[in-house]
Amino acid sequence: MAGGVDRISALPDDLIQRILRFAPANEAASTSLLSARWRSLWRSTGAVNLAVRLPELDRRHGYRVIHAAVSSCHDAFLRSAQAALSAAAAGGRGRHVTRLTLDLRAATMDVIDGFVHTERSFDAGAAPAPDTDVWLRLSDDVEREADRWVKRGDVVRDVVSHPAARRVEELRLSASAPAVDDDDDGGEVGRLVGVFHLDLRYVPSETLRVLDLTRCSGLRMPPAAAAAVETPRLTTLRLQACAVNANDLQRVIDAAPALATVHLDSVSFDGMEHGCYRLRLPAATTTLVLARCRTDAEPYRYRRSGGPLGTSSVEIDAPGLRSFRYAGYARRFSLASPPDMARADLHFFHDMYASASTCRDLFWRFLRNFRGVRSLKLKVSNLKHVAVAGRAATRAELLVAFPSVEHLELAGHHEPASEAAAAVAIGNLLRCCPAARHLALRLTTAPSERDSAMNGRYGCDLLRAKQQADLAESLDRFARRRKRKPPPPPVNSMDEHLNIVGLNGRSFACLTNSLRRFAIQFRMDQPNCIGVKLIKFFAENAIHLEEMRIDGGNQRMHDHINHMVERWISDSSSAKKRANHEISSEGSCDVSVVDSKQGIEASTPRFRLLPLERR
Amino acid sequence: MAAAAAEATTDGGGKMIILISADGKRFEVTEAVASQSQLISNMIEDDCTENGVRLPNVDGDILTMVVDYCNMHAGDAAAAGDTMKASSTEEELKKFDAELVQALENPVLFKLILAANFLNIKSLLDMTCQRVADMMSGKTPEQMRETFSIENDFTPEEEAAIRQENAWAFDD
Repeated sequence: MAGGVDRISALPDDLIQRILRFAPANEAASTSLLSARWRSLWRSTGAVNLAVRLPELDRRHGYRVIHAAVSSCHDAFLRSAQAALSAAAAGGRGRHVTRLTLDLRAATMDVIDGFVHTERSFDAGAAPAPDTDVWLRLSDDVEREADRWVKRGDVVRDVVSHPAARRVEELRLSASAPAVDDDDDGGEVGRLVGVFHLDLRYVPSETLRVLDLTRCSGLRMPPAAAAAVETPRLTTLRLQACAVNANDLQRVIDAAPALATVHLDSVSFDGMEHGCYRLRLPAATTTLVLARCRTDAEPYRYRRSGGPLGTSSVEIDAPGLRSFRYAGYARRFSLASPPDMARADLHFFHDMYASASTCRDLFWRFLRNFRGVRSLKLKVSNLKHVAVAGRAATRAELLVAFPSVEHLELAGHHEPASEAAAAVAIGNLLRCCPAARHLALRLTTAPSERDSAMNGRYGCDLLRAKQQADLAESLDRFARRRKRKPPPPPVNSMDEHLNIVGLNGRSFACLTNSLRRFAIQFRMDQPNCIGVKLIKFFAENAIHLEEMRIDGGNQRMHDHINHMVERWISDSSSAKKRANHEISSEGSCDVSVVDSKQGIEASTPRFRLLPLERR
Repeated sequence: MAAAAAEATTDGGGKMIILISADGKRFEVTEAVASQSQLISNMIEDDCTENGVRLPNVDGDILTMVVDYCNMHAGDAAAAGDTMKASSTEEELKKFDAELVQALENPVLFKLILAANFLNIKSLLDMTCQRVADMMSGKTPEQMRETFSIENDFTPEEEAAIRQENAWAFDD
């Protein structure tokens, strides 16, 4: 690749500088050595990205060794941080650091903690290094010890309050250690121990637009009266794996009238009153994410028996909200938001302690907050947990209409043994969304209750491996059976099998009026499994359907399924004399579609049948 | 691509815009998808997209990637009322983005940066620039020269002087 636009050198200076804005400070500065053109490009990017990779040490090495290693990293860090910040701000007028990132990585959080709080001033040489035994010495003088604690070093504070950063717009601070970076999807976070604090008094606040913190153990904000910190331009606040005091966070938000996006992922809150977490957002906030956050003040073991894991209630006041995402336990929840929110994406975790009716009631009451939403995406641990059957009074009490929902998505486990319950849950939602145009169902076969209680990754892996083996076996058996007897069973007896209890015979407004697209993902382990039954149901009952996308878990199933679907379509459409639409298809099921197309050309299939795109 | 565009018309009723690459390939996208490009968004405002938008410095291959990216991220713009394309979750978008840039050869990556800059699609520009910066991470100047085919035009004396000047950046 010689010459031409193939090389980085073909990019104009401003784009190279844009690239260098993202490079770690040391690498950015070392590009000065690449060639004459590069010599000073790095100096005016306006960004300083400080990356710290601490040595791979853990407790076994002993504190003295760790301390010495961390201390030497600290020295090197101070030199380069100082130089990088000065270089970025040097060169006179208008040169400021606008993007400042600090990325701390080590094998354990202890090491990062030691690094952040090394007792040495940022102004090199100002304070002499204390003797290395200081960590071990336990003083009798508690007061002096406390004083030392307060005055101990804080690398983070020193970096953010450096004069070169006084007009920073984008501030990202993160700490990570592989040992604790588990992204377990199944539950809310426990009580977190972060490694650094950030006091907003030290952060230049006037120009700040983006504040992004990972593993921060305390976001301090002085009470408004004491020393008002205003962040008039802050638009994005993102906290990940942080522990914050609810009141501190509220003060941070109150000081940011332009805040558009609030993203709270795996945040552990404290300082709530009476088991209730309240969050008040400004009118400017359009996007809120509340994922895996811990809002429960009381430990799980003090739960009422049969009570849910989400013991706290959450109250959110967001007058300008357009989009909301939640991942956590179903709990008491109230949201004051505009009546025409664009979307809600709600993922409810498996709550193994709550009784079935508690789960169900919490779920539907949670949902009520989104009555005006246009796009509703739901993920539940098990469909049967949300099914509302039985007494009309219960149904009337729990189920409310979502008249604006156009896009509806439902994902969850179902158990072959309680297929009707899953069908009822789907029916409940269809009834609640009379104007749905698009429906997507993602069904997975539920592991048994006992297995799912078996926490931990090992259990999950084992289960997954087993499921795959099961699938392979059933597919194999299915394939062999098909080979042996090519003609399908008599049409009528087969179709009887495929009626779905809980849905068949009922009418739904969205099916007769609005549904245009239907997508379904499931695991086809039986030729009469719920997925196949649902396909049949929608093929026959959704009058305006234009497109059906199917993913049965395995391509080899497609010809089988397509064949049946086409028959149902043609049966129902010839009966009801519907308009002629083209069948088209992609991928491996092409052959069967083309074949059967010739066969059923006369019978007017009315919508397209496509394989679901794998994500 | 064409199929996706057709769906959008039948569906949201959003206006379609035709993008024409340097080598004459045509792409039909909804206004909501195209508006992620600030350049095209401005053109839409000025009502000059009637006869298609010619993009003389973007190749068809690159424009294919850009259109894919925009289609995928269309749901992002919450304001885009009529995009009823199944909005993707954050994780799906992240995965899509990572796969898009990971696989790219250097020349393609640089062309994509130029296109994102020309079309003014900030998120795509940031993502591609970040990718190049990631490639610099952990490399010595010599390794960087090799990765990016940069010719060293310094004399040994000059090189030594620069090393001296920014010594902090070189000591590991």
